[in-house]
Formats: sequence, structure tokens, C-alpha cells
Amino acid sequence: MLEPVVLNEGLSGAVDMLWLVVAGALVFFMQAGFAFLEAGMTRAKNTVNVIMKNYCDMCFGAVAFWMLGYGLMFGANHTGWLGTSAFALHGVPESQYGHLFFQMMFAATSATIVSGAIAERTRFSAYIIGSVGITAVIYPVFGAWAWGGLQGGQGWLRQMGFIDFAGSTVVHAIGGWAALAALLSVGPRLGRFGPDGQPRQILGHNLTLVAMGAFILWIGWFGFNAGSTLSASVSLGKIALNTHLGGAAGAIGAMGAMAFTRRKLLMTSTLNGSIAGLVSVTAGCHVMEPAFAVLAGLVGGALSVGVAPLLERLGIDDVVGAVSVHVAGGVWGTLAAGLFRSGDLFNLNQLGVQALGSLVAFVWGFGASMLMYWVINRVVPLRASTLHEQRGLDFSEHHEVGYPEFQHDAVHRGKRHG
Amino acid sequence: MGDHAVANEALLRALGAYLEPLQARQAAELWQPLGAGQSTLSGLSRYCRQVAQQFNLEGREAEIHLHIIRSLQGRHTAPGAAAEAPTVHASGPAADDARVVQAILRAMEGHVGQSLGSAFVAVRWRQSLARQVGRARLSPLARRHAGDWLAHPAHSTAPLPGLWPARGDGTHLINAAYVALAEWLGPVQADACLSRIVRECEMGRDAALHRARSYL
Repeated sequence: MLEPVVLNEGLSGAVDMLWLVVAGALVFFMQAGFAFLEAGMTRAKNTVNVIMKNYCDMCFGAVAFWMLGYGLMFGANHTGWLGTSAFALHGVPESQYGHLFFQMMFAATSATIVSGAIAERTRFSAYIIGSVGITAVIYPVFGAWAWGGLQGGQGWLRQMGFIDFAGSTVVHAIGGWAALAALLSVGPRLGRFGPDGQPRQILGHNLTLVAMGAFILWIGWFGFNAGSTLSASVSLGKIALNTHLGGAAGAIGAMGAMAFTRRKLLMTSTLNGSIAGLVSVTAGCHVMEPAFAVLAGLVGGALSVGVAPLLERLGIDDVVGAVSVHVAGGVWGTLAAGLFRSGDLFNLNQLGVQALGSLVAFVWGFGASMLMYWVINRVVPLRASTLHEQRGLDFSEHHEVGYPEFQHDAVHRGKRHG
Repeated sequence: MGDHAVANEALLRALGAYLEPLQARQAAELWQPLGAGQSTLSGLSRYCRQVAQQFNLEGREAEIHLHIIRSLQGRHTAPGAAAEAPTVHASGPAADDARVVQAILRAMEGHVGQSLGSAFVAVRWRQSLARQVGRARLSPLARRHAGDWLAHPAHSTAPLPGLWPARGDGTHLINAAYVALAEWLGPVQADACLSRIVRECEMGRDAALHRARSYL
């Protein structure tokens, strides 16, 4: 018969693993949230393409992260710069696989942020190459600096005391900077800006899908943040509460910003505000008191409303507001983690480290992504042809349409009519 | 809108195919309505001669005359009538291809004109279209044909020369026009406009236009 202590340790390990796997599954479900939200915000003729991109982010990303990304990010990291072991993990103790499973979902989340930003005009093949590049290299390299060292050593940012509990910067800002690089590389949709540079609205085809996507993302975020404890500890409650408060305050902050600027209370901006709020508490939800989680969320939501028109004025066509949500929320959330750390409020040294981490994320995330998309563009053009944009990427890329009963008049019908 | 305003709008639209906007306005101002009881068409021949002399358009008086009359008539034309095939054409499958493409382009121009009203300048639309033709994936010969045709002042009535098959140069020329349309009206209106034109072609009396969708 086993000793009670041994039994307790075994049970504790099993419960930890159970929580990690459940949390990983919740983060996986976020992919569905992104897919719904992005599909709803685009025109009906590009629905299938958006869903395919989100689906394939996970499929290609999982294999790429298993083969290369996980090793770069979490392998033995004695220099502080890169992991050098744990590539294509196999033949290790069973307890190690759970961590890979959980982190795999994070990698795909970072990559999928790009898909909504450059929806409706990007070639599927070029997009997937970029997505693999993010999950295999761009995301893990920064991750190695901020989180690296699970199997020995420590990332250099982590050594400096950089706080990013669940990835305001590591996941969201990196994904957001990559999205900005992709946006600049691929350009705006046809006619999105008039000859005088004035932006034109291109409304999404289904706001119900957008709302459902936002709800799913919010649910998934509990796994995202609370799962980052990597164990079933008592701190889960506070983390989950702060996560929820951050999302709620984000929506309120966005509505407040819209009301303050005398704009109508748009549902899409409100939902984006809640997501920005969730991003804003992701870095510090484990160290903040609830009141500060509310404050972090409020500011994050308001920022998302402020940044979106700024991008429009610069001629950047971000279909779903990915940059305003994930970059603005990510940078602010990282700073907020330094400012609102419980028991060490407004520590300027910590704020400096957080600011450095955010700056490094910009330099690496944006710079490496620009280079990657430039290279991809030389091999496989990123931009879909104008004919494909006219027909819609559903038909031209996948030969399927999202709503065949309702799209008889609007779409090219294929060879049978030739 | 009074007779004079109607005439002025029609003149601007018609002259816009020959002159830059400022010159077109100057030319339109030359129009002098006649006394009460006389229609706006009275004195049109004399007016066309005057415009031709002042704006170096000698030899095109009859063409301008026809354009102005069509413009006056077109103002009252229903949207559905925009997708009509030009009448002067050779026969045969190649000619039918050209008719379909031309009908779609002509209908697009009509929709832009209707959407923009007096802000529509035909010369600028044509320049915009020509620019997109320059970028489109057309064969060199098709590009030249399209360019020459667009440069022709009466391109909407003159037959489109060359071969314009579906899923070939015909499709690419229509796509070039779609890009211009999206630039002018925005992508949402461009989509709606193209869908409407195709539907009108499919439901119209001209059987040659029924296969318009295969050109998308």
C-alpha cells in the first residue's frame, strides 16, 4: 500500500495535469472565438477563407511548434537568448507533454491574431507560410527571452524581472506587431480608402457571429490566464476574477470612450474593448488586486477605441481591429503589470523593465515579421489578385462559399456556367 | 429641376467625354435656351458647331450632337436599361463576347454616373478605367484594343474591337473596371453594382447577354 504522502503527491500531480489539459482545451476553443469574430466582421464572400485560416493556424502551428518552436522557447536556455533542446519532443516523462500541449495553444493564438487584420485580400498559401513562421520562430524567440528556461537557464528579460504572466506581450503584442507588419506588407482592401484618402466603411456580414466569437474568447481567456499557473492552485480564483473584471471593465472603458467622443455605442467596438481589457490584465492578473484589474481593463478598452481611428488615418486597413486590441492592450497591460503590482505599487524600476520588454517586443516582433513577409512576398505574393478579391476568397481560394443558398447572385458560379 | 438645369446637366455629362471638367463647364455655359415654348433641343446643331470651333473639336459636331441627345434621354432612363448591348456590332461568338463585356462596362459607367450625379466626369472615369486596364492581366493585343477603345471619345457606342472571351481577357477587362468602380464608389457599392448588372443582363431580352455571369 502506498504511503499517504506519495499518494497525495501523485494525486496533486494528476489534478495539476488535469487542470493544464482542461485549460489548454479552453485556449484551443479561443480559436473558434477568433474564427467567429473575424468571419462576422468580414463580407460573406470571404467567410470560408477566414475560417480556414483560423483552423489551419492551429493545424500547421501545432506541428511547427512541436517540431521547432517549443524547443526554441522552453528548451535549455543557458545564454538567455534561445532554447537548444526539446525539439520535436518525444520519449520524455509523461508529465512534460502537458506543458507542450498547453503552450502549443498559446503559439497558435499569437499567430491567429494576424488573420483577422489582413482578411479579405491575402493569399491563403502566403498567409499559412507566415503563420508557420510566427509559431515556429517569431513567437518562440521572444518567448524564450521572457519565459524561457523551463529545462535549464533563464531568458534574459526574465532575469531582469520582466513580468508577463500569461502573455500580454509574449502572445498578444507579438501577434499584434506581426499583424501590423502584415498589414503594411499587404496593403488595404480594394476601395477601402477613397481617392482623397478618406476611409470607407466595409461592414461585416454577421454581427451575431461577432458577438458569439467575443463570448467564446472571453470563456477561453479563463483557461488562458488561469491555466498559466500550470497547476491547480488556490490562486486560480483571483486570476479568474481579475480576468473577468478586466474584460468587463474593457467593455465599459470602450463605451465610455465612445460616449466621451460623442459617438454611437457600436457593438463591435464594445466587444473589441472587452477583448482589449482581457489582454490588458493578462500580464498582471496574478499580482494585481481586483480594483487595479478594473483600472487596467478600463484603460485598455478605451485605448482600443482611440487607436483604431488613428490607424485608419494612416491608411491602415485592419479589418477586425487586431492592432488596436492586441498591441494597445498588450503594451498597456504589460506596463500595468509593473504599475499595479500588489504590495509594490507604482515601482518605477519595474515600470522601466516592463517598458523595455515592450520595446524589445516591438523591435523583434515588428522587425522580424516585416522581414518575413518581405521574403514571403518574393516567393508567394501575399496579395490576392484583384479578380480573386472581386470574386471573394471563398470561391477563388477554396471553391466553396459560406452561404450557397444566398449567394447565387453575388458570386461567380464556376465552370458549370461557362 | 427646370429645363435649363436639365440641359446643363446633360451637356456636362456629354461634353465630359470630350473635354476636361473646366472646359466642359465653359462649353456648357455657351448653351443659350431659346424662347418660351421651344424645347431644349432647339438650336442644338448651332450650339455643337460653336463648341466644336471653340474647343478644337471640328469634325465631331455630329458625334457631339448625338452624345448630347443620348445624355438628355439617358437622364430619364431607368437603371435596368443601363445594361443594354450596343447596337452596332459584327455577328459571331467573338462579337457576342465583346458585346457582353461592353454592355457590362457601359452599365458600370451608367451606375457610376447615377451614383455621383453632377460630380461624375466621364473623362476622369475613362482615365481611371484606362489606368486599371494598364495594370490588368490582359494580353498585349487586348490591352491595346481596350486602350484604343477607351481613348475613343464615343467609346460607349463604338464597338469594342478584339477578342474578349470569358475567363480570359473578357473577365480581366471587367475586373479592371470593377477595380475602378471600387475606387470610385467603394467596394460595397461595387459588389452590389456588379451583382445588379449581371442580374439585369440575365433577365434582359438580349439572349447574348444571358451568359454575363460567366465573365465574372
